[in-house]
Amino acid sequence: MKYAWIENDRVRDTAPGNPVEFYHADVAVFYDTQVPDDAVNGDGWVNGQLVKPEPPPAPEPAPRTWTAEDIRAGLTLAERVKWDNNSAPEIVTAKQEMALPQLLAHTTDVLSLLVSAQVISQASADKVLT
Amino acid sequence: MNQGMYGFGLPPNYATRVAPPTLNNYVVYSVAGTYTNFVVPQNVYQIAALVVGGGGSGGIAIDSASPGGTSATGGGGGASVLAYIDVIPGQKFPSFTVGSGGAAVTATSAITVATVGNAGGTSSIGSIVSCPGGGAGGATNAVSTSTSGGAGGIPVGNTRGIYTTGGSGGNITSGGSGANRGAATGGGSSLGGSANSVTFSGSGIQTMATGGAGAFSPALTQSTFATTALGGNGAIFPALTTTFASPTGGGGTTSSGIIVSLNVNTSGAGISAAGVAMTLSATAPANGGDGSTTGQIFQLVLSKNVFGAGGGAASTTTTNANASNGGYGGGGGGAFYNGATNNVSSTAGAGGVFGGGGAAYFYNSLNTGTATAGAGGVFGGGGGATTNFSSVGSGTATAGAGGGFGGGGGGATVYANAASSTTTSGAGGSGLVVLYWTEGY
Repeated sequence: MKYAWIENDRVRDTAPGNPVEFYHADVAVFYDTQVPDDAVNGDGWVNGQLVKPEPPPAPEPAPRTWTAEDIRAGLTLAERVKWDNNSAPEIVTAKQEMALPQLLAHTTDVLSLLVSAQVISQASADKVLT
Repeated sequence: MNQGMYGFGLPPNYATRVAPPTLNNYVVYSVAGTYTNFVVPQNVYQIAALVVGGGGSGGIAIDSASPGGTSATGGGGGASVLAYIDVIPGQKFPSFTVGSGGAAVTATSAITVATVGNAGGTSSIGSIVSCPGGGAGGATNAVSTSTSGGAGGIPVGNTRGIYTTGGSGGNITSGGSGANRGAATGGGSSLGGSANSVTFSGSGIQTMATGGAGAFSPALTQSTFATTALGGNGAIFPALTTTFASPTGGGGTTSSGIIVSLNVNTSGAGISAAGVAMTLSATAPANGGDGSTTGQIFQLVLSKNVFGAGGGAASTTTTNANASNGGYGGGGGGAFYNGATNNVSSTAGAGGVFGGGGAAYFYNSLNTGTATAGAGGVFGGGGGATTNFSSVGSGTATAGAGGGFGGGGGGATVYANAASSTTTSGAGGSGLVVLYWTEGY
């Protein structure tokens, strides 16, 4: 057991030994609570029990994004010919829209534009998104 | 007194009679822990001990609701004492303790988070003098609730030296009728300076951040009639507040710098004058000018001889905003981004020795991005960081760590519209014990 300074139900600081030996008397009085040896600053202290804080959850993966290169990779060979030669105005717009990585919603909008213009098939659009 | 066979006699009451005229020798203990084996050197009768408590860490807040609020304040600076302790050559010096800095707190969430920081540990020379650490920074999601910065540590003990209560983290005071708010403030200095505060006023979306505290510097209050990222306070002079939607440069030792408008950068406060405005162009990086001045910091502490310039501010709507660092005594520049470009960042400057870190502000109406505040210089507080994503997107806000030796860490906030974001507060700087001595009386 070691002595700790408890503040707002948390361990503010722990003493390296007898507080009277290590701190001025006016500060030593704050180190008046005995806590388990594994207590560290920031732990909770509720109803005389040590409460370790929950470890932060693992960060969520960044949302997937798509670029113009990702769209081309999902097309058939015939569709790639149209794509590479800008054979429709919708392709030029799609390349501009996808110049930077885009999230699912905007990528879906761009693919729907290409499908409605009969530049690519719905199957190719689905393949890009998988 | 006469010179006899055995040299000059000792003066009456010799051990407590005179403070050493110069303190040419010193040893630094900057790692948290307890030290028990220091022996007073030969011919030394008095030791000056610089004792600094650990800095507190800042709080964090995330909110994705509308109306919503994110307020996170910086941690307090540790208490400081320069104590003169009478000793006898060869004696074992009392055991002493270096307190730890408050650990940073972090969270990743798509909903609501408000977590307070951690207090710093106590530094002490036995039972002679004690310097408690700075208090923890606060946090809240309630737009109608005020939040205090971490309190500075208060020293105790009577050793004929200089006492300094640690500076507090910046406060956030509620007011006005705005529904969506976000503010993060910087941490306090361990040498007395407090971080600039925020008072909400008026209506509409209000987001901003203040920089860290500089040593000895007073604190100002920024009202949220403007979105901004303030520079870090310098030693002696604070960074200015502003009515423009733009950042300010770091404060220096003889000037508070200047205020600029959006898309105009600035050099930091000069050593003898305010900085100058620099027009942003397509070919010029969005950087301010660096501060300068060097010296041996542990001797500068004794003399308070800290003349330096603040870091420049950076303001942009199209590309990364990179503010510059402060020189010795200067605060880091504030960094401000307000636009719609994907994956850009806003990075504030670090404070120089004795200076506070700059604040970072990031607003993006469409995409993701990052705001990173500047770390405090030694003895200075870290800057606050705040981000705001109004429609889609998510991002990261990372506050500046408190400067080593008791500086408080900054607070950090993210307001995102239902997207998961990460926020991390600035850790408090570790405590410090420096023992100075010279031979003779």
